[in-house]
Amino acid sequence: MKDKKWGDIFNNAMFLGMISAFLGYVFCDVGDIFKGSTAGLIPVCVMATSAVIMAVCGLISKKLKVRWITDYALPLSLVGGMASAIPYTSWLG
Amino acid sequence: MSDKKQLTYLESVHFHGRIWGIILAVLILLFPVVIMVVFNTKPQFEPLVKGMLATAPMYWAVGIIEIFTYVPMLGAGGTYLSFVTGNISNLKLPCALDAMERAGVKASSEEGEVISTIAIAVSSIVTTLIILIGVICIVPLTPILESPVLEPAFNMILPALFGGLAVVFVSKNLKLSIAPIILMLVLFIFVPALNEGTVGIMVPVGVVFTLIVARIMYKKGML
Repeated sequence: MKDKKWGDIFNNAMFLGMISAFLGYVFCDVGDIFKGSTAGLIPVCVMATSAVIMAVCGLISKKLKVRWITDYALPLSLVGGMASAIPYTSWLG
Repeated sequence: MSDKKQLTYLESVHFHGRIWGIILAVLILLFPVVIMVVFNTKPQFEPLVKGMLATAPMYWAVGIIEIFTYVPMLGAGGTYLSFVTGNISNLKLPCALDAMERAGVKASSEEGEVISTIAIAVSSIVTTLIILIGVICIVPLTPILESPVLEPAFNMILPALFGGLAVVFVSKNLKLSIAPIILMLVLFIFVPALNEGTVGIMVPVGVVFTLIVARIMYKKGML
């Protein structure tokens, strides 16, 4: 691609488009809350927990200069998010 | 002296990728044939064609769109590997994305092509090994995997995966991410037909929409 800046934006846009579809999917059962079911909030809470773990890993890496943690940030947020589904389900499910 | 032409890396990727793709297509199509032979049965022609006509065109469309969506993100080698081994959006693409992010390379660069291919290859090997272990240990593992306590965790893999990935990509492209996220939230919340089964179809929609928004914002100097 001749325009390097547009090339970078193009790549980021593709990734964001893909991620936005999955973020939307996480909210697909949220409307059930109006029918009295809070189970649709479970994936939203799981996603939020996973996002917080990822953000905390990023902060630790930046502020405390613990670079190796970034290599494990995605697995940590994935496993942490999945584990959080257990208490969320017993609470909201 | 051999007259064999020395293939470049990319030529070799396409050469071997096509061969493995064709082998996979043949193997997949052989499965129903083997079932028919082993069980000495065959499907009724009319319901088969009716069922195929009702479902197949959607998969042709999705298949073609997926190629155009995923190839620029995964590179040639990564695409061939992903389409042969499957689980693109929930395994291969996140692995490739994270590996390229960690290595600090762009998907469109030669380095990105190599990193993406290595990440997807490693992911495929690890997945295959885990499946192998799972098959061998299926009896002792069944009570754990079917445990009602752990069941909610296994149902929430995608939200947990994309929550983490979203932080990385949204924080780096905050302005650009607003429009596609709002569009997808509105669609998934207010269109009842959109659910886990249709999220794959919405990926190309999200990508095309974000590219259009990105182009407009770029032309207006907003990015």
